[in-house]
Amino acid sequence: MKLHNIGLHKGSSSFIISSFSGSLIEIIADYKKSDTTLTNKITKSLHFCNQPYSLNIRLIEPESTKAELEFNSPLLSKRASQLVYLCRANLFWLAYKYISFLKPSFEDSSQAIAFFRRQVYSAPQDSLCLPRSLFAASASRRFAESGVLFIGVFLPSRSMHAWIIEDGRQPDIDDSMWINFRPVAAFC
Amino acid sequence: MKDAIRANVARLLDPATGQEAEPIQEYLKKNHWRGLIPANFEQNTLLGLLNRSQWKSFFADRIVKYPGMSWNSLQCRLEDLRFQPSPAVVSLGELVETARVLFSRYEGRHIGVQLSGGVDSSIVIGLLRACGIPHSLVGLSTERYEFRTERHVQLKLAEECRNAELIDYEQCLPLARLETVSSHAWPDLSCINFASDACMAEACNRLGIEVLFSGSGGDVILGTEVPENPDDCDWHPQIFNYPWPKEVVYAQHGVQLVSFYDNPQIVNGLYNLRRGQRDDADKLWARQFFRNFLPSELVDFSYRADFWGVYVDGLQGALNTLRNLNSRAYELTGFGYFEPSSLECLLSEDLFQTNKTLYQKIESRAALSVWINGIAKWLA
Repeated sequence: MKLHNIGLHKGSSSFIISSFSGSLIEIIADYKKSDTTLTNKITKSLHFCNQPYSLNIRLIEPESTKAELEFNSPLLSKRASQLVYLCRANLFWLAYKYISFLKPSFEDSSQAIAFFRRQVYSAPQDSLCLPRSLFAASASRRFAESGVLFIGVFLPSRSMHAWIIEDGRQPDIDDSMWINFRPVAAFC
Repeated sequence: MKDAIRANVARLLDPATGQEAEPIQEYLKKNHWRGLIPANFEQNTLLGLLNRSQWKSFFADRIVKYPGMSWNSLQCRLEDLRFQPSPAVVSLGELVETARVLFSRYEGRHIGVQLSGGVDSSIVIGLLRACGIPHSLVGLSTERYEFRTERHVQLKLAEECRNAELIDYEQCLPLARLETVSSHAWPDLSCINFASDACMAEACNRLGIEVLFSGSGGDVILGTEVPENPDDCDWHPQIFNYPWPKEVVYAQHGVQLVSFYDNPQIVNGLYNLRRGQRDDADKLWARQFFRNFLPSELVDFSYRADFWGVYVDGLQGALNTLRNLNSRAYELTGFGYFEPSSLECLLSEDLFQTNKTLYQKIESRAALSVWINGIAKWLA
């Protein structure tokens, strides 16, 4: 997985994500060093972020699909907990390098996210968006082919959020806040 | 221009007896702002409009009674009358007929709808179309990223309407134009949105709109839990028809602002249709039930932009005005609440973080300062 800065400019400021700390960096200058060679996969997924009403799978889904995954896996739970630990310790670089060594265990990100939400932490997970998305990116078989993990910022606040677009859908049906965040960087 | 203080519909009560006291303009002429208790107003702001039955009086010797409230003599306080639903079997067709009856009250007058791009006002637009009633649209639109779905829906609905105007929200953000707010009878938090209401009222005048429907209250009627037992229903739709923007802004432009979701027949219909449902913050039921009346984007997706961005930028753009109004309020009243250092203490916090309590405290000061400055002008 590689981090691609998308190039977010607002007024005289540009925003990038530090690949080491994961922090948002604001550059008060006309910074144009964004990745101009975004892959086709990122460009397509970015389109879905920018026009969310064009997503392939509708967000309003029957309750039953939420409960499709019930199995328990101590190994996967441990992997998710390790990601939570790394992200909370601000070891961003280590976290996304760590997932490169993991093998996918779920068919797609929606299953991986459902597992994370149900089996790892039952509490509200607003602050766990990054480890949850990293977990899903590493655990989904579909991600390598058609998934992109986005990190976005809600301007003018500096609130940040992470989410996934995979196969033209936003796989986390419990995440209603991603819509407010403008993509700054993409992992894939 | 009408006198917004004289024309107000709120009444002053004696807090000891609950009896109606003098007209508010007489009270203000006699007492100015001497009876004001800023801390109570701030506490009310933190409680929020939906909990106004719990508000404390912000005048030491009077209570402001808003339409729809009644005096509870046992507890010696004002409370909002609870909506009492009548159980019935209601169909979509019957609800449309109820809406038709409501709209027919304004027959012969030019109807408009606030076009927010959200589901609540879009339902009103869909029902007007279903009833074949001509109408215009007026809305606030912004290029902000988080509002891209609302903007898309606004453009779609505006294109389908012959008479529509989208106003640049960036020109009338929260807390903008506070120095131009008309003098008004009681301090009110609604004044922080004065600029956007004023812009919409002006647009109504340009479009010839006489009656403007809002989707205010949809969050409660379409989004909160609906008890099976009608006696447990805790809705107070009169709150959606809050008088401040109606009187101080829209009426000044000859526009009647009407909340669709405060109409008892509409509320009763929706109660019966949603009876027994749990909280539905995304309004999934409404999106499906009204799917034939709504743009597909609102049926298929439940996106909703967060307004924090506009509030943060609104405050940043209003800092100097806020300081000036607060200093003037301090000069006029001498209340410690308005000491400039007290305001600066709040403004020294990180205003780019989404701290609701901090913003409510700042907005409370803004509303009180605006009111005091306005009363000083009115008395002069």
